[in-house]
Amino acid sequence: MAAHVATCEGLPGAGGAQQTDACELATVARAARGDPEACSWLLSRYRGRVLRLATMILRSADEAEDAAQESFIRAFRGLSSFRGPLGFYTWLCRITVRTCLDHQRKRRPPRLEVRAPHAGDAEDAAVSRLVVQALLDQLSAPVRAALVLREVDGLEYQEIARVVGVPVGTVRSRLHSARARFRELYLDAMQEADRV
Amino acid sequence: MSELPDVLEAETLVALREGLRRMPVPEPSPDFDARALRGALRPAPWPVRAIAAARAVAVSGACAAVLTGFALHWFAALPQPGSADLGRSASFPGSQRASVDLDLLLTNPTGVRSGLLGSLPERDQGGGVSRGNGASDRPGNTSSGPTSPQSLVGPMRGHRALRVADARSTAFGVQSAPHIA
Repeated sequence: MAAHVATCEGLPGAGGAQQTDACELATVARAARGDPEACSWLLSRYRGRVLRLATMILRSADEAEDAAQESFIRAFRGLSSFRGPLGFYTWLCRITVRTCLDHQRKRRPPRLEVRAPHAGDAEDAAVSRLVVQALLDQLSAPVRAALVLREVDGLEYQEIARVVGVPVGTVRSRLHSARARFRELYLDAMQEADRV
Repeated sequence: MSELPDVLEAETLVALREGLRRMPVPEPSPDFDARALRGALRPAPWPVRAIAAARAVAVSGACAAVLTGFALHWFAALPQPGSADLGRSASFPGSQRASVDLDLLLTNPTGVRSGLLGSLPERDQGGGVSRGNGASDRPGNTSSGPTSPQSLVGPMRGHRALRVADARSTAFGVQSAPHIA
């Protein structure tokens, strides 16, 4: 069993996508039977991505960790309802988005965490990071989730529609509006930086 | 002319992606995995399990009730074995009485006094017809006594023959032809 998990660990870099998917599905099946090692493997593989998605949606590090943990618990408990065609990560993202939205509904006014740029950032990178922060603060939680899933994780529009629970056309139009809004903010910020 | 907006759009898209990737993500706490595993592998609390079991029982009970209802409805619609309606076609409403009359006529013609042929003219003892049109009142018809199959087949003429043909056609669901002498 440990050997199998170790084999899966080496696959993403070496093997093809189909091989990785098959290995992942086998691991998911074992996790559904309550195998702790399979659960650990899924956790180590998707922990960072789930945490980033939760952070982007909730805009709070503490809440994001709680939500990510709850998402994993919900996912492991509901693994018997997982069906193959919708990839495991897409399915996990759907659970994460719902969990984050639940957290957001429960909490009081949203806390905005504006961070100063890191010292090591180049000027453009720092500007884009600040503009992205400003943009994320202006977007609703489902659109933030869609933006991250598209631009960072590279999910297809159809997968994002399944995750967020809206039609594909709606996802396209909302992402288009978000990109347009980012462009406006980014150009304003660059002009401001040039003036200074 | 249109290249500048495209370049600008591509540049801002790259900036958006870079900005999103560079967004700080908190480091998970050291016991993140352990807590998640503990939560996942711990059995659900008993109210949750009870609700799940009750839901399963309720769903299966509702399905069984619906199926039983359909089955009862279907059995109730079936004709009973001793029923007179068994085997009759419902598409010809008038066929029942006509076929009974024809059965009586063919098996026991002497007893036919009612029904479809009961209204037909009676034969008198003298071989003629006491009422009805004159087509069957022929001098050659000398048969006496009640109606016999031969008398129905042989000397049947005119109105009476048409009435029997009409009854037969009704029995077989065929629209009756106009009375032609």
